Amino acid sequence: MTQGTPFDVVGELKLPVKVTAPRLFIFDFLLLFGSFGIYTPFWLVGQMREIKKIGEESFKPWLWWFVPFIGLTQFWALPSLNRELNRLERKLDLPSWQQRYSVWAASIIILTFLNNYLGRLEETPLTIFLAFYLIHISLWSLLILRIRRIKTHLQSSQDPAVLNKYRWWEWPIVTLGTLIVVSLCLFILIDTTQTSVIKTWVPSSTFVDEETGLMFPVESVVWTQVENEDDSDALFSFVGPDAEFYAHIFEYKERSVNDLAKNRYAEAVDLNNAFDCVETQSFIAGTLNVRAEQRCLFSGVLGVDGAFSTFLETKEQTFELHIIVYSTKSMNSKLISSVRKAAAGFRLK
Amino acid sequence: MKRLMYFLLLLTGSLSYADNRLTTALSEQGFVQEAKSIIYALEGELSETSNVFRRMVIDINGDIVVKRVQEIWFYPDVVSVEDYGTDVIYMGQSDTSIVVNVAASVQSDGTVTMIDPQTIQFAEQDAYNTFNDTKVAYLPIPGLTKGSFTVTDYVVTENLRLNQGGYSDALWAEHYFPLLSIDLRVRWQNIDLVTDNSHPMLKCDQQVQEVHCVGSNIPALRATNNAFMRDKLRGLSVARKASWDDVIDSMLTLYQQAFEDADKVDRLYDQLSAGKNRQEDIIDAIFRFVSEDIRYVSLSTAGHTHQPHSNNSVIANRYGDCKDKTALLHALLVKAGLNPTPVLVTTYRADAGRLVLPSLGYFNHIVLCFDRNGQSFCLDPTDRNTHWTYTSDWIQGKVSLALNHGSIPSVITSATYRWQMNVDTQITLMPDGGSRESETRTYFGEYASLLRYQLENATGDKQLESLEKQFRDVVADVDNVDVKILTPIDGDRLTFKVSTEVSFQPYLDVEAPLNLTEYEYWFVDELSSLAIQTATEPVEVQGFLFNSRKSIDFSSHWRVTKTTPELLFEHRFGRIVRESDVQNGIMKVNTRIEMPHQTVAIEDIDEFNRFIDKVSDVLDVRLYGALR
Repeated sequence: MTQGTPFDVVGELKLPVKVTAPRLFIFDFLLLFGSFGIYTPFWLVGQMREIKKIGEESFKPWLWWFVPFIGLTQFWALPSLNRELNRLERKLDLPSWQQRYSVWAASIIILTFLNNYLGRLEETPLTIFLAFYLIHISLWSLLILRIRRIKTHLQSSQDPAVLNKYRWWEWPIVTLGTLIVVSLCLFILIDTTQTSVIKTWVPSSTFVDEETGLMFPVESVVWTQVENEDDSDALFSFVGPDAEFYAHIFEYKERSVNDLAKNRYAEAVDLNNAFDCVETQSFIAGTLNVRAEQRCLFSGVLGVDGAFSTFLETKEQTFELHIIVYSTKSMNSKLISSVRKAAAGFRLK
Repeated sequence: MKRLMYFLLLLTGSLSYADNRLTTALSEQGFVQEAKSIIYALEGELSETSNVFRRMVIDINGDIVVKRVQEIWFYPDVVSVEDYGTDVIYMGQSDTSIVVNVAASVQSDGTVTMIDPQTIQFAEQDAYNTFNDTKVAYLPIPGLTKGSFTVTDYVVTENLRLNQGGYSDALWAEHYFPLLSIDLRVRWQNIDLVTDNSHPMLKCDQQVQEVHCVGSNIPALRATNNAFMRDKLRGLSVARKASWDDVIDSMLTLYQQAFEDADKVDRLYDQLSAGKNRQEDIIDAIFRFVSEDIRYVSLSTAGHTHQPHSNNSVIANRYGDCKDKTALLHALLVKAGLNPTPVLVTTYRADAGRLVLPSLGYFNHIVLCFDRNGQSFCLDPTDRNTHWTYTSDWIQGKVSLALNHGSIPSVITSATYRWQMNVDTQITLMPDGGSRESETRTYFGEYASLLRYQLENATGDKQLESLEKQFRDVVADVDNVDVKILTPIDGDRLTFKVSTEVSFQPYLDVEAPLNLTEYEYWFVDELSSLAIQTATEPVEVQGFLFNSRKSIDFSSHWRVTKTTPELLFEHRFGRIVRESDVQNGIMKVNTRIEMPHQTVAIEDIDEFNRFIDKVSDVLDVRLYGALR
């Protein structure tokens, strides 16, 4: 017995205790799924509170709130949880998970660390996070099953639990949340499968079109060149990691740079009237052709919105690299830096 | 250039009806008969104004020059008759005599109408003619109709004894119009002459003390607006044999005469320099005295075509011509510790390479140049508006000859930026949607001089009216313009400042986001004047340096959502830089245009015009704001 360690849940099991009756597995699963996993720590704290009641232990259930997301805590918390569950299972003559738990706990820990690491990589596709999310929820669901088995056994050997099985505010999470998450997953999957990738431009490469001579540097994050689906006028289209930016190259005839820039500005403020915009103009070296660069940015708590346009005038036409950014990243992130560098480096060979 | 045009306007001078230097000996025989045979031989093949025939015979014997000119001109229409139907004969020094043998019109059927001598009128050639007192005789040829000819034959006899510039003549072999036949002959004795033929279609036969040149079907000279015709016209040049050092020596000998009688200079210098410790202040006082307090009077009469009057007489008379003023300025600047050099100038030429024979005859003006603290200055004491640290715009780029041994003709350097101007503007967008605009324009150097020149002859009210009109023409045609001249017309000459205040009635929707364009009116106006229309040869473009500082306050209803585009346009023709910033809700926009003095090659003219268009297009100041 180890006293004073927050995650130790040792002690004598005293029956009967009043805990919530075992719920439908599918309900708890959807509760985690429909809340994007946000409910997982709350659910775990609730379960630990009941385990504490059952085992009459002195640990602090609220500390378990951090376990699902902070990998380091899991090294202590998950073995401790296993010991307590084993003890309960022994008291109730239930078969233990034994080695299966070790595999489960190791999977949880690896997944948590991997998820945190990939989260720091800007180029990680959203679909990877989606897969991680589903695996994560599934793994925690296994714990639901184990705890539910204990509760079910308790309920069958003791008086039925008197506490309410389902809290009223859990229903909207299960119903609406599930609907939203399913829709979002479908959207991401459909969007991913339907976007036809032409080429992937990795960091430190340069996009070059030999026919027009247009080029721009690709830095920091992957730019995926895709078939142009939504904007048929574009010569080339690109999408950034997690679709946090879209870029198109357009060609215009008989339009002045000033007109084009004015229109783009008007569009930008339609998108976000909090944009702060700047524009610079210069001659393309050795010519009288104008190069204009317009940047509109808004940095909020949810991330950065941006509208970038770089215009290159030639004798016959004007080209534009137009980039729209809806990023959850910060203003000084690699993604925004990549967009800035591409806009600044857009030129003719 | 604008100032030069003003002087050219003075060409007309006052007309008089008698000059005993010109007589007539009119006859329908001789050249009239020869002219008829030439006209009949044409058989109606002419369709444009043409110099059908030109013959000049010059006989020089020592100081006596006899020049006979015979010409036939064809005028196809009433316009050419109106424009060119009056013949002109230039008469040189006071002892020059002219005999007119023929001045008549000849119809294609042979009808001859001879001039009535009483109709001949005379005028000064140029009130600013500094090195001669040439007069002009106007011969209104009678009976001239479209499709007819003028025939002239006259003899000019000149005595070189009074011509301090020495003998030289330019016998052009081309015009603005085709020249069908030309015959030039120069014979000389008791004088050493040199000749030069610069026209490839004029064939010359050089013999001992004689040259004979003929040419035919010489096309019209293709004129370019900005070119000086004397740089372009080609033909036979004749001058007394001399080197440039000889020319300089002869001019210096004459120039030195001014200092023979100069004892009043010391006292004048003491007066002008009293209380002034810095050399630049003394130079300024001296230059202002000579250019302002010695009035310009053309005094190039016999004996003083090239020799200035004495310093004392100029001080006493308080008048003089360019050489008189230059000599006095010279004497005073020497007292101030400088070592100036008189420099001859020809205000009609920009190509030093076309001064093919050393001669004083090319020059019509003189200024004074000196070096000080490593910088060169050229002062024109006939210019009372330009500060001494700037070179008068009308001599910049002109051919000159410094009166120093070893000098050869060269061009006076044009200022890198002749036209310099700052415009400071404060614009406040008012709560009712109107605006208030205050503007201060500061002109520098030559540009300040031009403004002073344009305004100096007007009264105070007329000056303001003129500036108001300028504002209405360039910026906005509104009535409530309040104009002020911030620097006196007779101020320090370095700058000239004008301020304007104007209010505009509400024109903005104060309930909507702001989307407004402000214009750099003054710059665009100046730039538009730079566009090159047509040119057959390289075009010289004077340098511009403009700074605009705009402060635009639209904080009453809007907050700035986008600053006006920042510009950095760099091109071989010029540079445009604009920076914009927002401080306390007020947008500051600074724009600078640098277009240095340059010569635009013919093949670059299209690109130059595109540059002007581009720059004019991008100068707009765009204001964007969201409602507060």
